[in-house]
Amino acid sequence: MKLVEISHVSKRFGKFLAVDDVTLDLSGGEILGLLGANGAGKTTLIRMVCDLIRPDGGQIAVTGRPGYMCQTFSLVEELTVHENIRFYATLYGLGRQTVAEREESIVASLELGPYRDRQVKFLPSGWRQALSFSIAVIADPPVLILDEPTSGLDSLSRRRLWKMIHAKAAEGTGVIVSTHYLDEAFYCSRLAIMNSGRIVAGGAPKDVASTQQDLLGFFR
Amino acid sequence: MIEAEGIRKHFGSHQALKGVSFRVEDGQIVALMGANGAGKSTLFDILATIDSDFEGRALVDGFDVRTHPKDARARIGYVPGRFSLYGDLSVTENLEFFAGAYGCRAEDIETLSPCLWKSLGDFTHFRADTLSGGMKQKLAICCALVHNPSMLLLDEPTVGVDPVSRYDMWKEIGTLRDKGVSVLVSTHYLDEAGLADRILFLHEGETLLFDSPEHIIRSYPHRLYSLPCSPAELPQFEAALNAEPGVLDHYLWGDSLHFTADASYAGTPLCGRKPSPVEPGIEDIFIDTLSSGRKRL
Repeated sequence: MKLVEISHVSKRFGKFLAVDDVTLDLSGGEILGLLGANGAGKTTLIRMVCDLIRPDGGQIAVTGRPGYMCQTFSLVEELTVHENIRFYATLYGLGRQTVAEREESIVASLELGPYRDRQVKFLPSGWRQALSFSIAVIADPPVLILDEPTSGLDSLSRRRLWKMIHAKAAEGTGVIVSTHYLDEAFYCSRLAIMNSGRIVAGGAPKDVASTQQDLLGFFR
Repeated sequence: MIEAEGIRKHFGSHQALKGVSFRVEDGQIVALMGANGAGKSTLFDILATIDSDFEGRALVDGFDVRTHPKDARARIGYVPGRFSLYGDLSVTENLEFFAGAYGCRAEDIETLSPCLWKSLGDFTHFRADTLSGGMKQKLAICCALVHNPSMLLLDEPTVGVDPVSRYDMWKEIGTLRDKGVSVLVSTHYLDEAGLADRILFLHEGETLLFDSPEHIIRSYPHRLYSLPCSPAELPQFEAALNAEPGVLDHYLWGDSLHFTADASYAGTPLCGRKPSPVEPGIEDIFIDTLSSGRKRL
């Protein structure tokens, strides 16, 4: 079953055609990597899938409410780790008992115990992104959408986040993820490369490009 | 030239910098590496005269950043990690604002940074907050260059920037170096660190390494192997690596796994696949150094 179906979707900002007749789908357990130059339309497409902006043309069907991690940190900087988890879990409509259980499991898996009462603005960005990710999946969304989740992360934090992404996909979650790290393209099960609002190449990473250097060709 | 001697900085009980010393010569690029939270941005704020509450000494072209901040500031171009632009001003207005603050002419950017400024050409009337992340970063660098500084401090200038634009930015950084500008630049793209003359590696506020990329690579202590592996095969391959005697560490590497081993590992096939020995890159060094030295937060 397809969890996301995007058919012939377009979006215009004034004269600028940000997304141009894009058709894509996503199945459970799949990790779809969105690659492309700055301004290629990745974020606009992602925001339409999350129903944050409406397409001008075409249709998007999404199963359930997607978990979404946006480029700018999606945590409340002034709140503590504990308060952020409570705040978002409540927004997602989780019951009190479930919230408490989820908080325990997030804090344990990220080893955040000693920092539970620290404001998230004082956490290093590697931990913030991992927390942000855990909150995006707190309500077990069937679809998970990650917009450049590893931007600004160091090599180890980046790999740790990818392990979390792989673990979610193994549970059957469908994942759409954008990135500028070309090595990360090969951590995806399928790629869609965007240029000037259109999908210019797609398929299994190995079929799209045999090396990272080859991938660069699609950006020019 | 930038000279830092024994720089220490506390935030309450937390020691962010524990005696950091280094030097960026004229016409040299030093890449500042370290995990998130290593103290990189703290160091930038000190060198940029924004934070004067520290121990030790920092000189910019001979001017002490604490006693002669104005002289130091006139020689520094600083692009902080957080965006330094005014979102509701246009691209041109941002540049004019920074030029005005330094008492110089905005038009000079056309000779100071022709490539970067030209790449913003179609967007000069766009409000800065409507630009893509990569465009914002290019504009921030132009604003930091408009007063023709002899020192450039770039705190993660390529975050969120696509691979081709990153290449363009580094070409520009190289041109500035060739003109004699001292550049201190932090980055998490380790292919970029390899382009620097020296790498300063901070870990929890301490200097772990300060050397040329070539020397750093040559001093790598392990044997390194690459094993092709698709995402679906990961759990199986990781289990095999964990069970293999002599294998020290393993991590994702694009369409493969990289793993380090000591002399007791003889290159035997894993899950029916033969690993191939590979030369380490800066990213392998980074991961090795951090994995062996990393403590909690």
